[in-house]
Amino acid sequence: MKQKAFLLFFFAPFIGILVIFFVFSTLNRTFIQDKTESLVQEQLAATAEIFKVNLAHLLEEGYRPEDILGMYKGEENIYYFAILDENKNILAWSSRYEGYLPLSAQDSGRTEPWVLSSPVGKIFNRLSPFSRDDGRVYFLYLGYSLRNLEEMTARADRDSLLMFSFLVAVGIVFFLGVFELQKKYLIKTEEAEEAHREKERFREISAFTSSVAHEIKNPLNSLSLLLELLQKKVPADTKDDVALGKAELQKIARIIDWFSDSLKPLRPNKGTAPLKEIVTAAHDALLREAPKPEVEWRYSESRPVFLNGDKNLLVQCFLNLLRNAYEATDRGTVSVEAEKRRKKIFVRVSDTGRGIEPDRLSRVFDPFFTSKDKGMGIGLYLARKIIEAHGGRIGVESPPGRGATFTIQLPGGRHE
Amino acid sequence: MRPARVLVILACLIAAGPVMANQASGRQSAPFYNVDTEKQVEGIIRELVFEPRYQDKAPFLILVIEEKKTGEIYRAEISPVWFFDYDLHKGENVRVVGSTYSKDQGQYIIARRLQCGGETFFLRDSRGFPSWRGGQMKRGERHKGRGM
Repeated sequence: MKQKAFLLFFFAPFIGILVIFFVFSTLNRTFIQDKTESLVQEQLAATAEIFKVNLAHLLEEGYRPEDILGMYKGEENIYYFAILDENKNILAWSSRYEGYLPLSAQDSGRTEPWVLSSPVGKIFNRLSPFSRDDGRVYFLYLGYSLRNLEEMTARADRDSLLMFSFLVAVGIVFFLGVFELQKKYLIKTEEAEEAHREKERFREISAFTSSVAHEIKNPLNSLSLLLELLQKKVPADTKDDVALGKAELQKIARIIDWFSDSLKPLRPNKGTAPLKEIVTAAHDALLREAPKPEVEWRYSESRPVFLNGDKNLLVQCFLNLLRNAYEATDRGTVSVEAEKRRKKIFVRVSDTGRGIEPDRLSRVFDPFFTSKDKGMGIGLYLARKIIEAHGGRIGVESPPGRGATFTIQLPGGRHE
Repeated sequence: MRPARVLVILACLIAAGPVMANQASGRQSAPFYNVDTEKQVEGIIRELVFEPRYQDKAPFLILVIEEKKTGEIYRAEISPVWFFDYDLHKGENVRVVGSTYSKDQGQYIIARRLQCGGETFFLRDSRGFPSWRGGQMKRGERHKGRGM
């Protein structure tokens, strides 16, 4: 999935969820606030009604308004209250705060409750009439604290913010994870596409090469037969020359056979074999071909390692790797180290030779890629092919001036 | 706080005891801050006194001010003594904005804003809520009534 499509596919719905959450929590908050305000209003109305009945009764009994005030002190949510006469003149009042009774002439005309902001929060105000049995009218003015409501609203806001932050944090973590996965997926896809292209290219090369080999081998066989017939007819002093020619033709045929074989898919005939035996066989074969006493040979393993694989193919693989190492090292060391890590065998084939130039590192396993005058670029390719046929991997690193190291990972091995 | 001031406050508290006891009947006799009677009074401090003003509350600083224009005497209710930590002296010029009322042929003013010696003290908000009782005025440098 492309970057833009990814953003649209994952990010847009997440933003949508956040927006929905925000809208929902805001609506919910408004609903709760309205509901609570309405409840407070009802509560205040009920409180005022009780007050009014009691006040009317006490006034009828002859109590003075200022005496009545003392009886109603201590109501926690009532900040202030006052008793007014029919002309809305204040007869008596009481307040929790010194001198604070915010009833102006303008407010005296109100018939509906109103909310007043103060440094200690919002105060719900209500001015309502009541009357004694004799018909005399009074007014009761109450200031009711909305602190609880504000605390509740603030708490709801805080909870919403926390929830929102949590959602954002979870979203960020989720998207980072998905983004990483997608990045890995893209890399893997690119790798798979590249492998597929390479396979396709190789298939074409193989087909072409097999065809060429086949076309060459037919005339070679004819030539070989002709030389055999010629050998019988030529004078004795030239028989050796004809025999040499025939031998050279057979050599060409063998090379072509080997070349064709190397392009065919490998089918390892697996068994268990000690790594040391495999490496030693490859090393001995190599030294028989081209001894190099000035290069020191080392083999080490923490504990004897046994490989699960085709012994002949693995010998061929190590032969190619060791040949490459020896050819790159005029004087120094070639070494093989082996160890088992988790469920894999790691084998490092190192040399202290010329090393590989950085721009060639990525191509050393490509078929027909070589930097040598004599080589055909098949050895390392074949080594990789053998390792991959065993379900393993091979890599190379070559720090400047420190030779080259090929690292093989093979599954299924074990210690003794 | 200076020792002299502590002594004065203690003396006021002792003096205020009997008066407070008389007002402990639950009666709210003091006038409230009425925005409809707001007025500005500019004059000279003639006297500084500490008086209990509200039931069960600390005594207040009262300034006896002679208004410059009319020569009328106002008793200006400033704030509880503990809240106001600025040195005022007799003879100083002051400007008080507050709610006025008359009682026993005397003129009174509940101060909302006091200007004195180049400083302004906000003692109540526009609806008369006292600054010493919290809210926004509690924060910052203004919680002691210090002006700006």
